Formats: sequence, C-alpha cells, structure tokens
Amino acid sequence: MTIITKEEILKQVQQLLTEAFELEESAVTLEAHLYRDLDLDSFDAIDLAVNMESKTGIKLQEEELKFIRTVSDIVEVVYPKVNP
Amino acid sequence: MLKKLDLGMEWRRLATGLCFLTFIGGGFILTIAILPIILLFSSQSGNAELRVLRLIRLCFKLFMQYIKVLKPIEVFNIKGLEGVRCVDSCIFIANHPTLIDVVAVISCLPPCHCIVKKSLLEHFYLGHMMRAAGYIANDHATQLIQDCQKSLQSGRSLLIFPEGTRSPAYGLNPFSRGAAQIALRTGAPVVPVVVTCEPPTLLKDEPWYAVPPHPMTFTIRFLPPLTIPKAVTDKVGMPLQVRALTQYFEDFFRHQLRNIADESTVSHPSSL
Repeated sequence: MTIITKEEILKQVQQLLTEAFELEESAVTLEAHLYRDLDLDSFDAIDLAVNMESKTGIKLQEEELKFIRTVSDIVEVVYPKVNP
Repeated sequence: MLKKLDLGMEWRRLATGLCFLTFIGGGFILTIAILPIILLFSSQSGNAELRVLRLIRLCFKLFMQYIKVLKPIEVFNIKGLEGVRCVDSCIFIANHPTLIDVVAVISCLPPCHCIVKKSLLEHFYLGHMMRAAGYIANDHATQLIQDCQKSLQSGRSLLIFPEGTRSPAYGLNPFSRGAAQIALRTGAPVVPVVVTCEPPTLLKDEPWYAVPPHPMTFTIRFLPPLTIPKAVTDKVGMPLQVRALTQYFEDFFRHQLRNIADESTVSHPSSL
C-alpha cells in the first residue's frame, strides 16, 4: 500500500482552505495559525471539516477540531487517518 | 454665558455619576434579592427566564425614566419602533457608541436575548442576571446556533452588537462575523438598529466623568429589515457568504452613520 506523504496532505489542505475561504495560497503555510493568521473562526473550522469530508471522505471529530490550531495540526491529524 | 455652560456640564457630570451608582446599586439589589425570589417561585412552572427578561426590561424602562429626569443626556429620540412591532422574532444588530445603548435598546423592545461574550456571562456581578435571563454566549459555534435557533423558535428576538465592543467616536469597529453566521444559518430577518449620540460620550477607555461640554442628544433608529443581497447568496459556500454578508452589514452601518452626520450638518450648519 502506498503511503500518502505529509506534503501531499498539505497540498490538499491548502487547496481546501484557499477555495473555501478565498485565501492566498502563499498564506497557507504549515505554521499558519487558522484563527490568528488566516482569520478563521469556530464556524469556519466546522465548515472546513464538512468540506474535507465531502471532498476526501476524511472525517474530523469535534474533539480533533478543538485541538487543531495550525495548518500543520490538520496535516498531523489527517496523516494517521489516510495511512492506517 | 461661559459660567452657565460650565454649570450645565457639572450637572451632567453629577447626573452621570448618580446614574452609574443607581445602576450598580439597582443591579446589586436585583441580583441578591429579587432574582432568588423569581427563581424560587418559578422553579415549578419553569418560566423563570421570561420573568427575568421582563424584569430586566422593566428595570431598564424605569432607568430610562430616571435618566430623563436627571438629564445626564438632554434629548432621547426613538425612531422607527412602529416598524419593529410588525416583525416577529428577528435579529437586531446594533452599533454601540455609548454605555447606555444596551439599556436604551432593550427598554424599547419586547423581551429579547442578547448575545454576549462568555466572560460577561461569567461576570461575578452581572453574570447571574444574564444567565438567568438566558443570554447566549458567543464562544462555541454549534452551541451558539442551537441556542439562537431555540430562542427564535420560541418567538424571542436576538440582540447583537457585531462590533463586540464600544464603537470609536463617530465610527465603527470591524464587525465580527457572528451576526452574519446566525442570520444565514437561521434565516431570521435582520433589523438594523442605528444608535447615535451627539456629542459622543461614555466611550471605551474614557472615564465616566469625562462628559462633553455640550448637552447630548441620543437617538435610536430602528430601520426596516435588511434583505440579504444576491451578491451574498451567489457566493459559493457558507464561509464566503458569511464574509460577504458581514461586509454588507458593516458597509450598511457606515453608510447610515455618514448620512446621519451629513443631515445634522445640513440642519444645524452653525455646528460646523
């Protein structure tokens, strides 16, 4: 089974974020803080999770959403899900 | 002439202080004496919330009468309230130029729920009343929408100050997106409430005794419900719609405030 790398996940996450929130791709770095740097709020986090599920089938639990602060957090949460 | 003007200002300063003392003292009595009685007698019927909301409104009405007698603010105008009576449960969004506008707006409206910061609900002094009244904390998305939906379904309106804090003099802080989130997700009508105070007073970070040198005119304008523009609903996805609607709300208020400022310079050219 092929392993999906973190870089590939990052690409997907970047695409999701730039499309859903009209963000500049250059702003969506690994270190970018969703709430502080990208101006998302708790509603947006839920919308992001819904988007992700409908586009990739990956589900984020509400507990996981609470823990997610940066783009890199999303990648870390998604990585074990796509590489079981 | 100058001396007389100063006397007026000193009176406004004293009256402002008295109003503050009354508010704080009244709040204390309500919280430690009246609130427990209401809660005790409503424990069976379960309508404590409505009783507390009515109590708040009654006290704010009395407080407004008190203000009209003491006159820390010279003139109170309320416009467009007839229009509000035709709207069922709705979302009132208001700007927040002075400390008194919460009291003034609530005293005009049927019992409604305010959306407040969570820290305010947990406030050691004001928190008890607000929690008993069922005021809604703005901290968690899913909970917030559920609470708002519940209020609206029970026929209650919501009151939101989208700036989240006091407005700067003659201006606005950027609107937070909560009001647009609630509007789009509940579909309830949005009624703008434009509050002005001329000259500005009781601003954020200004001590209560820094009263302006001229008597103040305080005006609340209830405007007809807003229609959500097509440019907003055309956007793809809730996040973009919410952002567009928030911008629309903010632009609407800026436009209204500018118009009001223009009108007042036309009708009182001497104040230029």
